[in-house]
Amino acid sequence: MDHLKTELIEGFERELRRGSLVLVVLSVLVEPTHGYDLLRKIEQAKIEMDTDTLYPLLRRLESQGLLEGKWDISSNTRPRKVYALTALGRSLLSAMKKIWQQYGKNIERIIDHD
Amino acid sequence: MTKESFLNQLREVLESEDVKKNVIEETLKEYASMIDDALESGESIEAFIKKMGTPRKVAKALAKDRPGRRSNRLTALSPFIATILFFFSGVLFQAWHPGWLFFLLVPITGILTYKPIQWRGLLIFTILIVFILVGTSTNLWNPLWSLFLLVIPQSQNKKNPNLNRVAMVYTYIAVAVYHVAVIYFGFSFIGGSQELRNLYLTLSLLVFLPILLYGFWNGSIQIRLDLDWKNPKTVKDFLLNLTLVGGITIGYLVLGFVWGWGWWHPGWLVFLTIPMVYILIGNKRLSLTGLMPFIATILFVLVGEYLTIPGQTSAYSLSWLFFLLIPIVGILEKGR
Repeated sequence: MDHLKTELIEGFERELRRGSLVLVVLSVLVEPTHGYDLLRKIEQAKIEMDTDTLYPLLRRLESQGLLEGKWDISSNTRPRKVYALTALGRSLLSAMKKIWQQYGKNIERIIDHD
Repeated sequence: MTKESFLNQLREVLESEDVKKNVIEETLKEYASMIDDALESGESIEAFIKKMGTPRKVAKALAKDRPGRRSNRLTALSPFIATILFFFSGVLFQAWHPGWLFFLLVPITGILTYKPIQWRGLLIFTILIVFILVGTSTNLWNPLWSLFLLVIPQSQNKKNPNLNRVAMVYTYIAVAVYHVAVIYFGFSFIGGSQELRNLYLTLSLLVFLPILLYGFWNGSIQIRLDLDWKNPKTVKDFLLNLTLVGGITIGYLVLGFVWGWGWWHPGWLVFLTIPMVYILIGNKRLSLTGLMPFIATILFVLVGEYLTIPGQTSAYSLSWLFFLLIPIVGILEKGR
């Protein structure tokens, strides 16, 4: 029984992580950020991620036109690829935020009812 | 692991996953930059890998995201087409066996509808079909098994294409010579007793040793999954892989060669235990659904081959029913 409970909780957390990852990444990238910095910011927000998902996700969002990645060679430091939201990315983020907030409110209403 | 070894491994697995060259270069450049950032901030490379995934995981994820699938419609239809062809050949021509090979159309369609086409995968299935068709009609399971060795040099070694060409030519010649030696001469040109000929036959397998060694080196025989001698887990995985794959291969050769058993068929079924073991150790809870395709295939072949059913030319005409266990167990397990 305990085993089943643990499995269900793990599954629930996994689904939440998967479902919210794009929102998390787009939210962080409101300010143009490079790959490793993005990872650190997500960690600092105590948001867990499945390993191996971040980089492929960045590439996918870039190919979908939600992000634009550019190599920053202007500064004195090493070249880094900096990701920034495109207009489409900003518009998607705004829509996703609204959905998340509304959904969160609805969920809270239900669970507070307990 | 160092930054260089991480990037080298990443390049290798990205190439083996057929990721586009410009994507590989871009990925490596970015990973190099991110690793530098991690190291500068005092993080170890191991901590970085824990967060960002092993080279294999990253490559798999990138390959999965790659646009390539043309149409899933044909793949979705292929099980129905295979079933119709299977019944057609069984009912009209009593060819239940080898008519069941039509089911191999399912993975073959999957391979053909994926771009770029995985020629190596296609070759494996082609050899499997030739192996079973020619094997059951001629009983020449030996030397037919050696055809599977042709797969090894198909895994392109981009670092050394000339060596790959040499390996390919060597493998084809070795397999062809082995076939001629066994089929046309039955090793009779050696003379002497059957035991002596068996010994020569066994010794002749040494001709395949360079091919196997090359396979380990170029990664087409992958038992070296992310091996890091300092990491006990990867060493344990390596030993498990080595024991499992090596043990079962030796077991198969023993079934075929030693004491004149000649169990090349259906001895090849032992190879189905490899994915079964990985399913068993990879899941916390026993999943019969995952195991069922392999169990059903084993039952299908064993019953089809050895059972005699009155009024039936071949037990394969009924043993296909074992495949129904796959959805039945799936539904039962899901509803539990």
